[in-house]
Amino acid sequence: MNEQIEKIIRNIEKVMIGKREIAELSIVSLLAGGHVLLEDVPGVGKTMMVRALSKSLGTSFKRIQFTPDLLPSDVIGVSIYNPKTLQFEFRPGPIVGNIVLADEINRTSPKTQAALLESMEEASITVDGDTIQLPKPFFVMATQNPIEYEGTYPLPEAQLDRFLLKIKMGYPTKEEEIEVLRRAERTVPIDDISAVLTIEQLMELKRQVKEVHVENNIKEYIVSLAQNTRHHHNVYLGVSPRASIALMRAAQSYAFMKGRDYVIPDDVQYLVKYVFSHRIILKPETRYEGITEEQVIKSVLHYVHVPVKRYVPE
Amino acid sequence: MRRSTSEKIEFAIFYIIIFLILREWLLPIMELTSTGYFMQFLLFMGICLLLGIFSLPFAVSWFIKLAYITWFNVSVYNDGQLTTVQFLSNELKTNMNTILAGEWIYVSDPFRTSLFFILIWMLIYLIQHWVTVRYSIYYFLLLTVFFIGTLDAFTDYDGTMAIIKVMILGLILTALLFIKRLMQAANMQKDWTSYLVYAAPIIIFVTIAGIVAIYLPKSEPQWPDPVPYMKGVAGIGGSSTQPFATVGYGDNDESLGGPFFGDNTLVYQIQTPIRQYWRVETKDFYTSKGWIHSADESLQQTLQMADKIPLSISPGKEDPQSVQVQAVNEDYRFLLQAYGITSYELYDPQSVIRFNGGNEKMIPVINNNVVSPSSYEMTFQQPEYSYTALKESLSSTENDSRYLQLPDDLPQRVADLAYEITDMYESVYDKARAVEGYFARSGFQYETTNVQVPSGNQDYVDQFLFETKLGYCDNFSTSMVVLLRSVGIQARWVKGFSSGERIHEEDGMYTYQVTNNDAHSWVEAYIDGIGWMPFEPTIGFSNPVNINYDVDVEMPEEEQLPEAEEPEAPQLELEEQDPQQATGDATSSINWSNFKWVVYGLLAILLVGFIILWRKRGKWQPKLAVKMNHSKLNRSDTFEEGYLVLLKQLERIHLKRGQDETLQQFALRVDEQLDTTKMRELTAFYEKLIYAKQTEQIDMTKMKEIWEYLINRTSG
Repeated sequence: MNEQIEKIIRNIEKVMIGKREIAELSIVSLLAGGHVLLEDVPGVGKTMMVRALSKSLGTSFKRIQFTPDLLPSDVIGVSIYNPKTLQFEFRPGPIVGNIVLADEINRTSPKTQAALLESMEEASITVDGDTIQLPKPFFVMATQNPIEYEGTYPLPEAQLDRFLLKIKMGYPTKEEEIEVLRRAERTVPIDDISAVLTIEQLMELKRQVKEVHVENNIKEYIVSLAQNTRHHHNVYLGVSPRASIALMRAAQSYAFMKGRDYVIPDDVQYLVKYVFSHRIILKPETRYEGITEEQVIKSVLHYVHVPVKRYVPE
Repeated sequence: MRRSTSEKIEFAIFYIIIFLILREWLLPIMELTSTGYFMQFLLFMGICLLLGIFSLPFAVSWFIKLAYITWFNVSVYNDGQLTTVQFLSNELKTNMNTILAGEWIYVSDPFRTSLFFILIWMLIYLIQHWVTVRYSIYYFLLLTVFFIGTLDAFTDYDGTMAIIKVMILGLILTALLFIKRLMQAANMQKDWTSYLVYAAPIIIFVTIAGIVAIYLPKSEPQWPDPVPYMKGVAGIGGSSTQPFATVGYGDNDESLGGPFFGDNTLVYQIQTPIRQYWRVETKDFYTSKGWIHSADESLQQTLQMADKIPLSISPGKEDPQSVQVQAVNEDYRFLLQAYGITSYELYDPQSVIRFNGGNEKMIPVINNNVVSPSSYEMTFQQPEYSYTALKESLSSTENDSRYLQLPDDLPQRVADLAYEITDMYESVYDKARAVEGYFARSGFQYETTNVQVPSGNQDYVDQFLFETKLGYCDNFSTSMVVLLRSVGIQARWVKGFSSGERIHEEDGMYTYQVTNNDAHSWVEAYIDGIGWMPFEPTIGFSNPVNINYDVDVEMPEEEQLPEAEEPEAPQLELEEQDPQQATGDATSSINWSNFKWVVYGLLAILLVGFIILWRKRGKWQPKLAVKMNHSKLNRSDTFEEGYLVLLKQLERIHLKRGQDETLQQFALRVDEQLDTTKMRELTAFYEKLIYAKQTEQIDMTKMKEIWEYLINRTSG
């Protein structure tokens, strides 16, 4: 385990109980330069998670609560005429921050969603013809509620592709929940934590992640997995090459977090369901049978041979 | 390993069945190799099994078995002249020398016997392992059936009943062991009642099925007898329809040739002061396919016991000696004749001898009924031939022209050959000796199975002399008669028995056992002034003829003697015991038929060995792998191969990596199974090797140690 990352996770764990895996995956995504889609019901600690992460990293934290009437400019920002300088001045929206929590992203109109997702992809915003670079690091954590579908605008496949990982939060266990209550009895835990890493250190970590070696046999493994989703009998639309890249990036980041400078198949296997499950579309009949994306990915994993020899090009 | 009483009883039952099956092994071996002391060998098997039941300490059981082997050897082979210790040390010394010299075939009989005992010992040890540890007898049973089946098919051993016995016993044993395995797998308590409940139906079923099967009508064999069939297909051994004759004494010699099987049924037990051949009759007319008897009935006469026997061979001048004959085979209704016989004593005042002067056959008759006396006595004076007289006699003209008969269509090349062989000699005796020794000099071989029958117009002698050069006594003797007759020497074909096997010696009397294998034919030639004289042309046989070398020392002819007589002298003992073995020596070729079953046995052992090796490959392969891959591990680029070998080995102990299982997951599973952390260590290194950019400096020696440790664990 990388020591600095371990420090962050321990810091987060002071606030979040029993959510180490979520914390790890969030950091994986952050270091890989990707964004996370958290899918879960309200109240399980999504916001707290992001805030704890943000506070541990000493970065700015912004939150956007998406509503049906939210406009793109509410997200990106708006230029306002300043009578003193006789010029339009740009007032940055909540998107301009290091870590952004986009709450209930599926409640807003596609137009606003597109504005958010575009800035996520480009890491920049364009206002009145001017391109403004977003601060680094830029990490969006979007949430969506899978229960209430009425009056929502489900994210299209192409948009979902922009999230590196899709994570499900899940309820805490009984013991964990009791512990949550115990800690929240008198104080607010989030107020007690402080930054353990500077932004520079974080950027250095991000740079190092890119150095993590992916051997050819691992690349082949990733591609085999991706291709297998495209031919799987339960899948209507398989993952794109962008997904393969995403899986490789995530694997690099995860390997780095685990203290390695090379990716092993275990990294790929662990991450593939978080990377692929929101990128495939199941056949309707499959869905009716109650088969989930996770199950399909599991069977894909089962079919593909793990490389145990050095890569020999065919 | 201590056993409870009930277990002992159980094993006793198993071992009794095994003992009975092993008996079926021993029987044909004894029969085919003419080995005696069956009971003693059987007793040894019993002792081995018994010691196995009581699982005595290693040292004790070894002592008992070795003592038994020693006792057997001493009591059988030591004739009392040496003390036991002397005998044993002598044996040890001679055999060590022989073995060190690499002269394997000259090891002594006691040594061979000991080896056979040890073989039995090992076999039983193996079976015990199968039964007591693996509770499985399948291989042993398969081997037994294979063994008996092979012997039945390729030798004259009749395994019909043996197969049935082995199958019934084997199936019962298999069933009992299966129950035992089942009960053990189910962790059932040993309970005789439930054991019987399971066992009884199976035993009853197998027994009834076996008995019913014996009495049910059988269909004809679906396959032809393999040996003649294969030979027929391969185009050797003459026509495949030629039936195999069994050796023995027969009256009909009209069609000679063809293969025969040995038959070591005892027919005579003879006490005689000298080793000699036993005449029965002569034949004079050669038909180009065989022999018939031409003389008319007028030569028949009846001899009383007191009458002098009018044989054409006159007795010698020495003191009369007597021979005791015990006839075992009642079908042989004739009397044996020693050379120089003077009178018979048939122990029955009413008996007379019907004598045919034409073929000189003596038939014992009581009240006009041909009988077969179980014992009789004959008196003989061994003929003595003067060497000087033999060398002086230059013709063979007196006597009867029927002994010069030859078929009209006898090929000229036979006569040419006869002339060629004898041309350089003057005396009849020398000519005859030249023909007698011709076969051994000219690459002829003694052979019993691959012997042709002349087809069409082919002459039996011509075929043997110029084409096959393979045959047994009939070929050699008939050829010699024809060759002699071709050069004007009167000769006749003699049938009888060779001297047999000497089994006992007392007060100058030897006891010989004559079996059907000893049925024989040889040659008598007529020499003017001397009379009829026997010759033995068959390779590997010798007939002792009493020649008085009444020559002066200075005589140059003496030089010829060694050639004539001496080479055969050392072979005498050997031939008496085993003419076939002597044949091998004499012709310096291996007689395949005699070693056939040895070869099959070896093949069977090889097969079993191979199966065992294959089944046990988990045990030896890792070690081999360590040896083979040791050097590879020194370099990181070949370490990959070593690791893959390890994966294969793990598969063998049922630790197979799933195709979707990563090395780490697998290593964890292996470590849990083997209760170690080594696999994870090794795998971490291997992962670095195949997934990382470049290998860091890793302590290869340590990796090698771990690898060897794991490989050895897979064989544990």
